[in-house]
Amino acid sequence: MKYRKPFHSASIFVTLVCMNAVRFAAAQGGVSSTASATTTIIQGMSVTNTSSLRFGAMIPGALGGTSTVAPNGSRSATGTITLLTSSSFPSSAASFNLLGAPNLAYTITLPTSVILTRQGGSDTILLAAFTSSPAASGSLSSTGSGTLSVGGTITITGSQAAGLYSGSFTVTLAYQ
Amino acid sequence: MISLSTAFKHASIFVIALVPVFACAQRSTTLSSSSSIVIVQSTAIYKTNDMQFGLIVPGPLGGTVVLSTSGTRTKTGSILLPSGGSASAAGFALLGAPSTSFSISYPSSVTLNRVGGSDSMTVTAIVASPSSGGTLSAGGSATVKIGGTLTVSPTQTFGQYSGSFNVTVSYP
Repeated sequence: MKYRKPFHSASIFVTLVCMNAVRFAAAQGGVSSTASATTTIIQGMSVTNTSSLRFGAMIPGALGGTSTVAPNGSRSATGTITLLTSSSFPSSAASFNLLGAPNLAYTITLPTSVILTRQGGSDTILLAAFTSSPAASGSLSSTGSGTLSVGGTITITGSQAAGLYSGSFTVTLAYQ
Repeated sequence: MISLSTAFKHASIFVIALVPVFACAQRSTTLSSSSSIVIVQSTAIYKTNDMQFGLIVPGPLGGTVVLSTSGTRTKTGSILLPSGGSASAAGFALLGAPSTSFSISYPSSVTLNRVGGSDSMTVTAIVASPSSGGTLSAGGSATVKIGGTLTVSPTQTFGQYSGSFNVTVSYP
């Protein structure tokens, strides 16, 4: 008997966690009024990328420097960089719309760095120092929606080859 | 006592074995986004839109289609302009040091050829906005739009016509 007791309680603990997750989903399914919301529950969290992380256009100047786009979309630069403002090449933080179970809590894992490559060439720019809002973890609203914004910092040299650089990055949200 | 201690140890091992099961309940979603930046060394020009006249039905007499720099189409003659195709003026983004003056030049006419054939059409009366030049904004950018007039013959062979032209920006 004493062999089984600790054995059994551990097993119950784990089962409860799983059932909680299932109940969460079931409760949401019942409240929900649309089929698409039900689909969202099955997938755990549905994500739409509504804006990409754009640094816009800039002139490096003699020494180059860094340019940062904050999660709120504001852009800044260091060094000899001149930031240009162009409606054709606007700057923006990356933004995601999140949909899932009400109050679903999640943790955010940002990439360490990614490489942007010049279109039609092999020149590169390092994109690093990713930041997000919310910063490390967040939770969906009581209606199961949320927004995540991501910014970062690029570093360019004074002799950075002119052109359009692009790349992609991934952010991981973990939740129960 | 010894056997009890062993039992706990077993339980402990069992819980560790369950961790992967627990991790199954922990789910994750991957979010992907792109990132971009334009580097300008002194000056740059980028095409943002092609010149598109859209869909045109010549009718019995043919005529002309005028594409304004704002991208609106007007017609003369028996031409019909179905709304199905998208029409747009050519668009260019100029980038450079803030408040730099510039001048632009472009051809007076462009010949379009039918894709997969030798038939042609001509775009004349090419107009630009600004018409000959201007000054980059305080943010170091400007937009140039270019339109023109396409002449369509009543016997114009059906098909898709295309051509290309260059716009030159000079910074004095």
